[in-house]
Amino acid sequence: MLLSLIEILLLIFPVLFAIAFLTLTERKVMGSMQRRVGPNKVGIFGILQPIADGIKLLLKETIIPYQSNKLLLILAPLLIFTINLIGWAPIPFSKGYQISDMELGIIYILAISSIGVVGIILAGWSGNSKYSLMGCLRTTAQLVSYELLLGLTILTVILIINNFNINNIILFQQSIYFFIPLLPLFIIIFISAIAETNRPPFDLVESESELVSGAFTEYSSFSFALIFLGEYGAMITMSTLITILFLGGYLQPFFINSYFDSISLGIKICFLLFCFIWVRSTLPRVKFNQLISLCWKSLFPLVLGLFIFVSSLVLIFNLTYII
Amino acid sequence: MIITPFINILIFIFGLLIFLFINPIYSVLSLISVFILTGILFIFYGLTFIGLSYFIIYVGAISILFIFAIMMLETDFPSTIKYLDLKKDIPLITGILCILIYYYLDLSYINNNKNIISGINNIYFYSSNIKLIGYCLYTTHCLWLILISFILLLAMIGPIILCLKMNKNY
Repeated sequence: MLLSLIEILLLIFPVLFAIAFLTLTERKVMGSMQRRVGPNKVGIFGILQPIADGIKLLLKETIIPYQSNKLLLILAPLLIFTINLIGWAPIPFSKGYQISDMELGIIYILAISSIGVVGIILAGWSGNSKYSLMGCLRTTAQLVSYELLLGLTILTVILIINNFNINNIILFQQSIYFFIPLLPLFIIIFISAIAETNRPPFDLVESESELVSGAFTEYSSFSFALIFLGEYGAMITMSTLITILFLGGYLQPFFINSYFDSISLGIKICFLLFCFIWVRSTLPRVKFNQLISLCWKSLFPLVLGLFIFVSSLVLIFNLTYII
Repeated sequence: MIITPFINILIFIFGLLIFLFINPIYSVLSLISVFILTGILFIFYGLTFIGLSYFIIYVGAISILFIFAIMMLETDFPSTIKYLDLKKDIPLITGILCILIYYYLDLSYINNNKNIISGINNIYFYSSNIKLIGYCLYTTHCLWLILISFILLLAMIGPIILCLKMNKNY
């Protein structure tokens, strides 16, 4: 009991630290891309900036709007944050290094990410503000549409492997990482991951000049910090999911020693996170109708076609893999 | 499992709350909790795939769409009492009819094909959840599957026809 608790804490604390330093990384990388210095005052090279930010957020006053739904207002950030942390349970860091090696791991991640929408909706509705309601309506439409793409892409990978276990998905890629044969799907899942985490250029939920901070306008202090952590945590979870599905998870191309497994996983995730930030500082924001039509009119038919194509290839050449 | 009776009671309570709440958002939220608890119950019973698909389909898609629709609407509550109306009770009648049809079809099919079912019973012990569902859906219960797909088609065509009639009037 105590040992498993320690295991879980050993997973959660690094995740929280990663989230904290991801914010710093984003500001630093964006600063470099825009020829600025970025945060450099707190600590050496501004490395203690996220801690200072966190302390600032914690010391702020918690404001609960008078006409809001207090219970749901407090519950929603907790829901968002908890669901993000729960999603880390089946993710392996090396052979056998995971909290639970469940049979339906990849379906579990999909299910957890689909519950996460409820938290955002509650956060938007409970504040009793027009802007947050609009923001949460936008989020819902966006997340429901793009979750379909995510699910179909995962299903295509599952069809090839014929298994739902995450370890099997990773070990299957020992011969070739899936981003080479399924390159279009890799690009599509990256786009849908950007949309799913509400990052620019798809950040219509809180497009700064229009809806302040979208569904989370009414939040302040610690509850805002929880939502913030949840959002950045979703980014890391998404990149981990893409890494597992397409970049071979903890497999390493060069090192032989299995001690480097988790390091190679980390490097791949960092690369994808850098791509997230890269996209943010490069592309302008799209309009909402463009976002929805991109999903339903261009990407969805493409993914559906690829799904049928890959499954028929598997059927024709009798590639069914039985574990 | 010790927890399952408590989950059952919670499901019952939330199911009652769905129609006891006046605020539609609250009732949809209790619906969501019913779905989540049902999924957890399925997982406890060992039907992991069905439980997780409850999360994905019912919580992630259907309830969210309910909430979405309710939030966008102006919520006016009908104050008048609903009188018995034959036109409005057509769905109920068709539902009962469908259940009867399913019942008799299924029974007749099972009586005719006892060999297939005993063959599948042997597979139950060796294969995973998903394979089992696949076997059941595409062999013994294929008639159910076809009928359900017809109902789904009806549910898709119905709204379209309603919209067409609206367009003619205005």
